[in-house]
Amino acid sequence: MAIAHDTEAKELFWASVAERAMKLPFCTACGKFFFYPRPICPHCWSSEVEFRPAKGTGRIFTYSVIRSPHGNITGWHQRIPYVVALIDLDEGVRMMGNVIDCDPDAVHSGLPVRLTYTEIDGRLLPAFTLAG
Amino acid sequence: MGRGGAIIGIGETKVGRFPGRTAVEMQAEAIRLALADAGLERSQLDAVYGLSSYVKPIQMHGMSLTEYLGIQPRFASNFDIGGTVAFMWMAADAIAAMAAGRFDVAVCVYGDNASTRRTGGEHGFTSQVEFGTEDFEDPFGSTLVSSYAMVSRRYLDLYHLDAEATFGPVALALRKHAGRNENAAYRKPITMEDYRSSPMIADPIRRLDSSPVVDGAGAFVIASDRILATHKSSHVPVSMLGVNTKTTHKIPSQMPDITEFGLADAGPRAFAEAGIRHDDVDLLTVHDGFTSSILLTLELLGFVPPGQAGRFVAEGGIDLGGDLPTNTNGGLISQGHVGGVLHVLEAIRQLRGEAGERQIKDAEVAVVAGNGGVWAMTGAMVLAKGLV
Repeated sequence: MAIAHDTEAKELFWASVAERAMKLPFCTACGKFFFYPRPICPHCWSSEVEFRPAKGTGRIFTYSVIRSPHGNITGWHQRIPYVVALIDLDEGVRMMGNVIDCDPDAVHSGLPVRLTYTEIDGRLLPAFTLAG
Repeated sequence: MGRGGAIIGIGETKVGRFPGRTAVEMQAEAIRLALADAGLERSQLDAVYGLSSYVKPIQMHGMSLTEYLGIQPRFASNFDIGGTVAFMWMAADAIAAMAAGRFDVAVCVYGDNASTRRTGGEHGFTSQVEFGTEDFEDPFGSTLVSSYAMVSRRYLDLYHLDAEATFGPVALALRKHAGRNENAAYRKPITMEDYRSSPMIADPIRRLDSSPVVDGAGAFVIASDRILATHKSSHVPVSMLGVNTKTTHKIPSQMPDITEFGLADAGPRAFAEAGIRHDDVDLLTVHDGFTSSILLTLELLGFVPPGQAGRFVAEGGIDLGGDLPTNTNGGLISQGHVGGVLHVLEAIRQLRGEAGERQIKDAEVAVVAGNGGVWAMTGAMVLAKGLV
């Protein structure tokens, strides 16, 4: 079950997010998840890629608290200070995401997080809250 | 002799804010200065290794630049690697081409009007073309600064370090260096108090941890062994003894851990090719987009044990007269960000013994270290005084 093309890979990912049920690309040839979505597995170059539901658990690898507006942060302007982090999902992939609904000072590397969703500029995004 | 060619000219424009000037115009000026410094004629220039503007890129930049200069070289191109690494491959490619007898005089150049042409309210090199972060990073309010901030945070976490004590001394040391460089944009000395009161942009990166973009350009000229055999110049030529680089990723979420950045692999290969050891190195120039870049480079290249570079800097290690003077021009952070080309020029200037009041005594071997993207393509180049 191959994915038709790059555009479809992106669309399938964002459609799963829009349904609040984020899926991740998984290679059935080598049995590994990967991120970001694309129709070729970066581990083994197979095209046997499908989407599987994310467990929704992971840990913060590293993070930053944006405290001054800069760059193209669009709707995040209104949420300064906000936390942007690299999240290590339990599936063994790392993705960029925000840690929300907490005091930014409570965020530390290594803390467990749980998947949630948040709306920015009218678009639903995957996000994470501190777990436990 | 016998390597293919050596560096015999440098050109550096003023850095600052120059409304009305274009990137191509400034690159043309740097080339004119470098060729004059080399004592060569424009008709002798037969290869132009350019790097296009990042704020307003031009496709097939090399040809725009050579047309602008009214010359018809054999080769003109765009080495879009970034992070000082571009200049390593420009030089390596030019010298290899000279060894094969393809041409005799090449210039390597970069310049940008990053300060005056950047879009309103933006910090840093905000390109007007796609970077690759559009789909899975930008939507999260991630920026170039926040990505480097995650690198800085990881460094602090890994070695249980305090941000101010670790990064502050780097900012102070670079500002001290810039005080000895008339062509630096930020020369006023700063104190730790200034550092602590500097606004936090993306924690732990403060404004004073960052490299302000400036308008400016730099170029260096490489001549073949054939030219060098008869060339008369008051400047000492500079040889490239070794270069190596490694690409590990492009967008920040795909980067390896900081101890596995490509420089840990490429650095030893560059040293081995050059046949040098750490204590042979008299100076280092580092692509210092942010203060943590200097600390990581010192450690990845093996000059300082992991987690100890902050202390090394705080104790004067990168100062003039220190164990390893680093970015004696003030670096991107205090001279201003011109893509790293001025780091190559500073290394050459020091090896030629022409660095004035910031001259490192008896400088014979320099290492230029770079990182393009957010530590995406890293590398090191070893330069030495004279034809060796």
